[in-house]
Amino acid sequence: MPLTLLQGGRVVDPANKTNVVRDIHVRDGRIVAAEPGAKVDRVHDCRGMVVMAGGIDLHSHIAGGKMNLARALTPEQQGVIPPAGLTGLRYAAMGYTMAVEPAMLPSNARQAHLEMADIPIIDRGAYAMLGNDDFLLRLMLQKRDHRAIADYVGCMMHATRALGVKVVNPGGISAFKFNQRSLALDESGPFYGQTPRDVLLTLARALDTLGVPHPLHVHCSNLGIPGNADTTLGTIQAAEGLPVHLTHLQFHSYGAEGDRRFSSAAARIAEAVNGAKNVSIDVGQVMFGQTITASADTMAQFRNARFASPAKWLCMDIECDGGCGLVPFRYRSKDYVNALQWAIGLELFLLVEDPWRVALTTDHPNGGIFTSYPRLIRLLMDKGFRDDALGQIDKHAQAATVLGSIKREYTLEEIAILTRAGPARLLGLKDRGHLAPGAAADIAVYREHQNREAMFEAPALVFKDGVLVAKDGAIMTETRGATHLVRPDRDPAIERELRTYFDRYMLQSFDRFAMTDAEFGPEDRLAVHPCRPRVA
Amino acid sequence: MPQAARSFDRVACPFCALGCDDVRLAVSADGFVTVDPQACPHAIQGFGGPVGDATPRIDGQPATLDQAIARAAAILGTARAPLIHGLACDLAGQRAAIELGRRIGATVDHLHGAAINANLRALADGGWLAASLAEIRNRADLVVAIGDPTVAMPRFWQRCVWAGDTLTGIAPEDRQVVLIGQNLEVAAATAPDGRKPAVIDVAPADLPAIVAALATLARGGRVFSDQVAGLPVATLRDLVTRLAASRYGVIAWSAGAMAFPHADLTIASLGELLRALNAKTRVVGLPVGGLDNALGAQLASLWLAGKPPRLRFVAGEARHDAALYAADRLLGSGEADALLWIDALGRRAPPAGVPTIALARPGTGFATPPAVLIPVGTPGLDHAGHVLRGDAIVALRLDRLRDSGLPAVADVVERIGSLMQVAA
Repeated sequence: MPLTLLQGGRVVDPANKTNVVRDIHVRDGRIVAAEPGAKVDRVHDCRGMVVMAGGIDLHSHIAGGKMNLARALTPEQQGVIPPAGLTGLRYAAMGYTMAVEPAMLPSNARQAHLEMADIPIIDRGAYAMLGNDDFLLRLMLQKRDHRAIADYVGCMMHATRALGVKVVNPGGISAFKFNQRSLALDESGPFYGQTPRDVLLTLARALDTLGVPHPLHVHCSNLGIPGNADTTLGTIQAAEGLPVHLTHLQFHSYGAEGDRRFSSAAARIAEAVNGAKNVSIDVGQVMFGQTITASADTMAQFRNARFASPAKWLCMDIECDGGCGLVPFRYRSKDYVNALQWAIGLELFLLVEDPWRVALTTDHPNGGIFTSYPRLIRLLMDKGFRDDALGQIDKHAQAATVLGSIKREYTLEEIAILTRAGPARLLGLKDRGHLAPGAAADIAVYREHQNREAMFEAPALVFKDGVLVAKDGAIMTETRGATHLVRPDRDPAIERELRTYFDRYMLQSFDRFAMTDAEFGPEDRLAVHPCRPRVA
Repeated sequence: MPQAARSFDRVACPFCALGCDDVRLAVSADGFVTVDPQACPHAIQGFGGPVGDATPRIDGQPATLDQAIARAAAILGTARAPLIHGLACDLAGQRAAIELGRRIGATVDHLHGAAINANLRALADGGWLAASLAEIRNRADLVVAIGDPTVAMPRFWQRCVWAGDTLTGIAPEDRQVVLIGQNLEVAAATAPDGRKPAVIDVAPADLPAIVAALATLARGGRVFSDQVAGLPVATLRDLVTRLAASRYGVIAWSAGAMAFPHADLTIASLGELLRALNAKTRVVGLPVGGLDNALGAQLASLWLAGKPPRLRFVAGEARHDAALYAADRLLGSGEADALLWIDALGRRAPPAGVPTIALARPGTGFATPPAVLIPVGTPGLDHAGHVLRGDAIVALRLDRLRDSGLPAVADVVERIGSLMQVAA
């Protein structure tokens, strides 16, 4: 096996508390310890450069039914949602080696995986969406034991080849199907009578029981509504100390103060996050420009449809397990609300203290497209640049944000935590996100540059599993990544109930719904990560 | 049934858009398939019969698979404007066909490219509200069908509307049906308790005016006439009132039945109607279609090329034009100079007129032998695979039921592609 040497780079590897100039050795797709006297087959001169593990995006809408509907809804916006091929190439060229699709509907899981298999180079994974599925709401209505519910969640993770579980507007998507237009945290939903709080706690407990590494991925109730910060604070309480990951938190950190009844509640939210060690977040930063918002939250998307730009939108109720809503949107820096959304996202980044509990996202494509990450990194690292940008936005929004008073500038180590070490830890990927021997040789090498946007948009070298896939922003070769998943222990007895349920109410059998490993092609590797031992 | 080697009772069927997986059939030792006579006619037709003649042919003469693939590559390699059409196969075959199109600079269309594009143009015009099939099955209290849904989904009424058990407790007797169109299948739309559907008998050509009037009324607008296309406005107003009073109404339209120019504008009006109704209640749309895995072609094209079928690849870049890149237009005008025809689901002969490579099921009848004929296997019978259900959500897993030796479309297309140079 050939040995590759990355020589003399500054290795920024916060997972191993390393920030020194040293060599990195790669053999057979893995990082290996230095082997004195071993013949080096290939040397890459990394002197003056920064070496990090490959980037990991733990929340990016990259595949599935809603993305294809989004492509069809907005044929005039070809740049916003690239096809599968370009998705992989653009991530890789930017130094990212993994992205996770956060909204895989169980009924759409097979199609999502087939599509993800066509994304080249990068690794993929997906969170199965639960919490609006009629099966779970029925179990809860029947007051079933938490072990049975954990078994069900485990079965669905197996059946959909999932890496985690996401809940979107707990119970709210189901409520919208019954023509309910809003659902508060402690409001009983129609028909099944469950509150969002109950659904959230039930799922968080199920994942804790199953020992799934990634905490319950939570898209809170009341997305986008002024004053929703109270709901978000309530959601943090509702987790009762169990691990939860609050996603695209920017959309959930709004106050309702001021003349316009829309204000930043980022400081309150950040304070609560700082005090709740069970909580991790990603931001869902807004970046100005055209995008299309794609969400399972039909209740929120229907409410926001009046803001569609261009004026067209779609909502779909899906297969008794969820939904999807698509609303094209143009974030304008001179619009008070949009500008304040931008500032709220940055406030969250800068006010949440522990970088290990923050992941860098734009909720691609909802806040902005993933190719805007280098600019976002510069906004976090460069106060001068940030203040200039702040000076360009709507004047009333400038007055409504504390952003200008925040002095914090992210360090390179902190950026490495937000973009690779932290997400790897939050996902339970022990061999990713760091550069110690044994780790996968997913590596990004950046040229030092005062302009951090320039530095991060086109790394000098990108390796995926030890193969040089990109150089100075250009793709060198197209490799195939792996699908990452977990297979928690569960009692398959619950499958008997699922079989009956599918036969009675669905249009296919449970056994046909459940995926098999054989459906992944011979080139599609499955990377199965361990769960903690199941608890009673 | 004749003496059979193996019988199967939960077979997944790719021959319509409903994605059933309850077909019972038997496969004899020589591969002959006998389908339960109670099964849907599409399943009987699609699965039933012998393996058939698996011999590839060049200009009608028997050839080896290698020879046929080499000849196919030669024809496509010398073509200036190759067309890949049909795409009636599994998802893997469609993906391979689109990638071959990219490689050789071809135009790619699906058998139902017109219906696909009528729906997608309307979607891109204004959007709509929709639901997948299980939602309709478990929630609908009123189903309005525009065009006959049994064309694309023969068991639509049986499986999605007259089902006994539902999650919400809604029962067949709580459900009402309205049919709009001509020559509709009324029997299947009749309730188990004998209630006949309400029928609004209109010619397809009158649908644009009627749908526009429905959308206007639902928005609270006025129609300045007593009649629309011969129908009393009161009838239309009554329908809007019923939709508005439904708890979970469904408007199921069949783009395939809209055989008039600019059908997309009528579908866009349906989107307007749905948006107006959802201001107060829940009414969802169901674009009924997806025969021949049309939705598989639509999705694979969108995720691989960013655009729907009726693609043309120019220097590796995908372009889309629903009119310009329509296969029937390219063939009719003589612009296409070679055709790769893919039909692994039906037994339909390709359009005549250009040198043709046919990837077809054994038993397909040809008026004149194609330049190259490669008999291919059928997904869900001769090999495993996936097809998309008509709601574009569920990818149905198909199994291999017999060892026929017939190659899968994806394998043949990839082998043809491997012999070809990348387009300049």
